[in-house]
Amino acid sequence: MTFEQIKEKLQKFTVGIAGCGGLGSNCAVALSRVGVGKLVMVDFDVIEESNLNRQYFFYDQIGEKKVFALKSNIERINPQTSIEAHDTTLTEENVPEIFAKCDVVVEAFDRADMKKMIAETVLDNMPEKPLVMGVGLAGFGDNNSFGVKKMGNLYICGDGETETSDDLPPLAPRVGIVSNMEANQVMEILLNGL
Amino acid sequence: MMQIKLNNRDEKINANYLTVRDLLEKKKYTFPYFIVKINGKLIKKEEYDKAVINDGDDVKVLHMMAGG
Repeated sequence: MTFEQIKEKLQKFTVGIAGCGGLGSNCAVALSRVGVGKLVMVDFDVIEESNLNRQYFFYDQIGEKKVFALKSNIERINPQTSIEAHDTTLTEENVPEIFAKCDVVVEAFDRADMKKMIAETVLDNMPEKPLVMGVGLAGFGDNNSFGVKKMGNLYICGDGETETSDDLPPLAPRVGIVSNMEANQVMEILLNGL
Repeated sequence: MMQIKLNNRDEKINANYLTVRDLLEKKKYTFPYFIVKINGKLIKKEEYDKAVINDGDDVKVLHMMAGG
């Protein structure tokens, strides 16, 4: 497929981005660059200086809401991408409604309990919906640790092992790898047919 | 003794009766957040004590780790 053909196909699809931190901001930017038609992005948080070691924001955006800052950054990269921004916290109650029209949902949370929440909510309420997750991305090095596990409509990208802590921080290279693995998996799902 | 598939590997478990909770304890899984499936069916945390794993079942236990 040429890039023109890829863009033309992806233009018809909507992808949900659950969280606009390290995983979500980088994944959303990649999906916008390749031509996904619409992104439904959700986050409640505000940009802090400590986020800039991995998240797709700029120094002069510190203090802004992540979801709106990301929307404006993506509009500067590819104004063709249509963006629906939700400044809210995702819960079991609102996940099915907010992502109802999405062809694929990307899990891009930081907290493990939130990853579990969205996985169970999607499996329970919308089992036909592909969910692409990022699990295991802390620290640096060990490129060979990454992979994707498929379990029904659940796709889990990452090393599946490392958990972030003070001594194992989330950093641009490994977070960037996993977020782009998620974007790559979304492309494969959308282009190979749902 | 029973044999199950655990995360795609054959696993012999020394038990005649096994719940999800028993399995998590036997395997010493320590992360606080999991996704558990038996034969493709999601088992939620409230069901860990009641959900029974039978001989030959296909069990998936996925750790959810913080980071993003």
